[in-house]
Amino acid sequence: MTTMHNNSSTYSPLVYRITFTISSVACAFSLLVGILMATNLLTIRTASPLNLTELTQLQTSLKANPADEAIQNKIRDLDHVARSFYFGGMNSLRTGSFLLLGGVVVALITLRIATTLRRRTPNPREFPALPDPIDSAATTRWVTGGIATGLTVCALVLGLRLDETPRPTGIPELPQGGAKRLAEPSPANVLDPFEDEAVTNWPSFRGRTGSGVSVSTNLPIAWDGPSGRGILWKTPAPLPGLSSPVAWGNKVFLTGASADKREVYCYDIATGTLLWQMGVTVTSSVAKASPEVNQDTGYAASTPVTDGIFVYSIFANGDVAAIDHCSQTRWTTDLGLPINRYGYASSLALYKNLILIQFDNDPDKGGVSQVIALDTTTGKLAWTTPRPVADAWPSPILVETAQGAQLVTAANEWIIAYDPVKGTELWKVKVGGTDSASSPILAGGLVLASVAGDKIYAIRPDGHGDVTKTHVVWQSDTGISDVASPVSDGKLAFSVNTSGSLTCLEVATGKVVWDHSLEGEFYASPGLAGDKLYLVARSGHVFILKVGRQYEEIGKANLGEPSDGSPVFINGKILIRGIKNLFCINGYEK
Amino acid sequence: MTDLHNRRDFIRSLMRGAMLVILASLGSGVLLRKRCAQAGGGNLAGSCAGCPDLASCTDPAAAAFQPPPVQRTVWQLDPAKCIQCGRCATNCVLQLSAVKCVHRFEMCGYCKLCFGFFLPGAASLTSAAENQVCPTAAIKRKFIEEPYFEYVIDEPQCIGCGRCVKGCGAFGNGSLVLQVRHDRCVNCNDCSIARNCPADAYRRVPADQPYLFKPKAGNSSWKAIG
Amino acid sequence: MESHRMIRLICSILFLLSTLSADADNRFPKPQFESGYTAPIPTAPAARSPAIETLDVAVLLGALSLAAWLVLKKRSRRGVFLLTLFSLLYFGFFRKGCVCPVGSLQNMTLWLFDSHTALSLSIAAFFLLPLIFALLFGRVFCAAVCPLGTIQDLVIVSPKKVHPVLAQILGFIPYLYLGLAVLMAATGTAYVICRLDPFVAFFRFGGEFPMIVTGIVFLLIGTVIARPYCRFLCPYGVLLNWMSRLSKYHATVTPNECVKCRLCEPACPFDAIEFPQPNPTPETRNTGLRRLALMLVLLPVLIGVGGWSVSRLAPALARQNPKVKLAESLRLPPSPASTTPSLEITAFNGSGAKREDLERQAAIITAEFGIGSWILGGFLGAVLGCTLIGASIKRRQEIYEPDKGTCLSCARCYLACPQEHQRLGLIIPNAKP
Repeated sequence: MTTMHNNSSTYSPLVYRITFTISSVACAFSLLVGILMATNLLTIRTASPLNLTELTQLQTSLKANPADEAIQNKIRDLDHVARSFYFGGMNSLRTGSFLLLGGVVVALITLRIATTLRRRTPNPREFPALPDPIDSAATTRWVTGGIATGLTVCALVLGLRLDETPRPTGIPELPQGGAKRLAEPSPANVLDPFEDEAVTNWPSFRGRTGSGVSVSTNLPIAWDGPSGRGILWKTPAPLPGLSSPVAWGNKVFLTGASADKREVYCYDIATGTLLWQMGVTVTSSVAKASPEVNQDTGYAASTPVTDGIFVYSIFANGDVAAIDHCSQTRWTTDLGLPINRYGYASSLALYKNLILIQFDNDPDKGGVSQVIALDTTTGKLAWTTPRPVADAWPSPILVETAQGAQLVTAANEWIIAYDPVKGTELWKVKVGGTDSASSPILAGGLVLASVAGDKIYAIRPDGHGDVTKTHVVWQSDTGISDVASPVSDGKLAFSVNTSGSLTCLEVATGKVVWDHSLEGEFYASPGLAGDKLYLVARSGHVFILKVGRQYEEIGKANLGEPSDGSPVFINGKILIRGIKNLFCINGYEK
Repeated sequence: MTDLHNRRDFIRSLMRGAMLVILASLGSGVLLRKRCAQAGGGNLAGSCAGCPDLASCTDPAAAAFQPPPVQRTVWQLDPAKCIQCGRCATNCVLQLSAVKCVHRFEMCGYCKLCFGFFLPGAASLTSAAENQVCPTAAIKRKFIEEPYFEYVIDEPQCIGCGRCVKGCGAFGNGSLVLQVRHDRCVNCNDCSIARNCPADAYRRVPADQPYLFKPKAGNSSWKAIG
Repeated sequence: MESHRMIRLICSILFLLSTLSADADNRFPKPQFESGYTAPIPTAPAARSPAIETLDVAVLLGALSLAAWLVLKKRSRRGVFLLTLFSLLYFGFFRKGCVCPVGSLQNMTLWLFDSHTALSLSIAAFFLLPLIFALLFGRVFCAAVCPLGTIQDLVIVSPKKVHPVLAQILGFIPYLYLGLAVLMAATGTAYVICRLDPFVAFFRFGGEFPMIVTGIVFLLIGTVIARPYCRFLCPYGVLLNWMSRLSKYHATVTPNECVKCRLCEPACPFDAIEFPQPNPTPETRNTGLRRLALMLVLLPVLIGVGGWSVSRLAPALARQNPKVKLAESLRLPPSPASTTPSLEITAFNGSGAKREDLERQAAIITAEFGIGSWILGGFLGAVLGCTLIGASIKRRQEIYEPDKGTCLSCARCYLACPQEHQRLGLIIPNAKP
């Protein structure tokens, strides 16, 4: 560097030519190495053993024929090639970077020497004239003004542009805890602003509202279980159960139990892979006797409930467990062996930080019916309210009224609503009948309850005390369902009984709009999504009707195995539990 | 003219003094300022954004624990948050990721059918390529005694994809975990994996306790141990 | 077939076992070995030792002092060049470039704004030492210590002059970059400077492909436009520029009195030498004063307009934050066609974190961006306003001397001055060449 001013005398064309040649060679070399390294890098990225599609395909075909040695050998060869290529490529990258560094250093040194040799002594007489300070200051001001204007315009245009791109506006007011799961009691049965969650999550029996209704409209109407057409996946449940699945995000939860084992399962909603299964063991229940159950209930008839963090499940022997979405058990508790003629079957409900359990027992055998609330964080008893009813099988639902949330329970003697926070009784309606299993629903601001062997009652949920005489809007002798619960879009209600007699009633008046006799027996509660009504027959056939003032069948699909499971609508798919398998249906175009 | 120059010089030295004071107070601030207890360090994607300062923090744990004000930190991934998406293998600035699978032998069940080693539905329990979960065959399986097998990670082969971790966590004891190995990690100021981690599992931890493992069963909380 | 059945049996046994235990992590208890097997102990390599970090700070301090001495006292370009090589090897290739003073700017910002961040003393030293040195001796850090600067300094082959208008426009980018980087760091969104560092990939022998390409492009440009990153991008350079303007001792072109021989005019590859001004075109004192008053009035206007217009971008900027982004994507109704949600959503749903908490955090961050974007816009407006005021104050430049703000103290101009030759005894006094 210090030589740069004495060089005009030492300038030698030969030295210049040599250095220039060397530097050109070094540049070319570096360029070559650089290109080779870049291609090497790209091939390593694409041919990494992590994403070899060929290998995955071979693995799948091997699964089909596990004993095929040809495929096995192919996999071994491919695996070997991929790995040696990957690690070999990395080694050559390392070598390449040193070569490149060397090339660049040589090129730089020679280039510098060459340019230094060519540099001439500066001659001030050839320099441009110095600029006028007034002019250059003016230029500076103008340029600054230009930058300011340009930036402002840029910011405004960008701001407008980005505002135009579709994005959710406004943050929805988030209520506390599980309150968002409640439906508005508006006449049209409009669902709350959490429609996105209503589509992706199905947190409890018969969905968020407990009424078997979904806002989804894009649900499949055609599938065929035996051939697998339109079935996204089916996965066997390790233990049997009549409970329905619940879903949150990409996870599906299910319970299964035998006389001596109780389990919760978690499936991947995309593939049906069993992500985990977790046994429910309550310490105090070691010596507990097995409950007496019959075929229509089994050991896992109650559907679990989830708040997005934990899955809460209850089993026929009165064991309750909270397990998080990654299979960690948070707490377990024992409610005591239910005294129930057919086996305990009510599903759980969730309100804020409380799990609400309709725990009805046979008073003739010394059982006490009660509604129990457990704290979701600890599993400790929050409150319990005894109730004057015999053992029953309906599930409780939560309804939101202008006066606040209510827990509505149905049984043979009384339909009773409780304050979910304190457990105090709000109102009750005297009913009759026997062996009711049908859960109440909220439809068009009314509580509809079908009591087996009695009537369907429509009750305004804003009374206090015994409101049998004051708040029953209508009652109907026609269209009583015994096992399945009714379902409604807010204007029309549908109920199906065991023998397949389907009745459509007007919610506001209780008038029968139409009735129709379906083929088969029905235990599963129907589901309603958009304008479609799904009825699952015990044979596994699913009738899909259009919701309307006329009977109109738009599809009949087959699961391929018997089922008593209510349909779960989630994210454009339907989940139904069959007698053996859990089905996820995405349907096919008819 | 000299007058003007003197005035300018005076203003300049005043401003220089002010700047020095600012820089010095920044320096002493680093030495003296108290930090929130939950801070593992410069957790860019921290979980308590917007939390009030330590002074007004109501968490009793925070009040009880006065952390050293100056902390050297390194990157680590929290296995409790990790979802084994596989991005650790591809997003590290190093060609071969600094994240590797670590086998915690004290938690291992030494299963004959290890789901960290075998693909689900493997045709036979041999280490043939078609049965292995690991894409680079970095897990070595060794018979110990019937029916127990030892699994050892061959670290230079491991690329940190986390497939074995997923298998072990789903069906086994979860003794395989992904960890940033500090003999490899260059401790980038802006960790390239951390900013691509979908689970927010990366955070800065104190450099003298650079690994995050789950303690043995019975203690549900996660903490950093050496 | 036989083996198949066996596997199935083992499978079912394993599942059975797994259901017995309530604890997911102890599905299989640790076996009692009869063969006397002992488990190997997995290694846990320690992180970089604190001693090395102390060494880093010591080397930084030493290099800065040496640079100051070489530039101001020894006036040796060769010494500066050798120190440049050393710094590149030590701070670049040995220390892998992280955490460099340029990036430490963000750590410092995050530390100031987020009480959860601990800042190690070495990072604070890396941020503060170059600034303190600049305050005393000018940008000696840029001259020979900064790894980003040195790698560019070495590729300068044939520097060309940048047109002053272009230089002024490009020279505004560092302010923009600094403002954005501070905003992003303060909100805990990202370390933009590190993410967009074009040279660190060379030091690590690996990095993201686009950044490697950007680095190569910068080095290629750097052969003709000297140190493009330092002059037209470096956000830390803005701070160094401010400090250096106030510097107590600063490099001068000539060791003696300037004789205005014009020989140093082409010597600076960074166009950082201020030339003496010829007599200006006459202008009445009143015009100048009126203009200055106008510019002074314009300053708050520019600050306001800048703040307002950048605040229009606040939502877009906030969306760069992963938390805000996640909250927003969770708020979007899932498209029916999509079979699987994004990994982020999956991870969030599986983590057990509450939507409410996330929404609250996202709302806080968005609000921070709202305020931050006003400040950023105001800052940019202030920079432009100050430039305008600066261009409206008459200043007499009498001699050739470095522009204290932009001069990188590289000592290249020393040997262009005949008086320096005289000082070194290369030419005899009064013997004109």
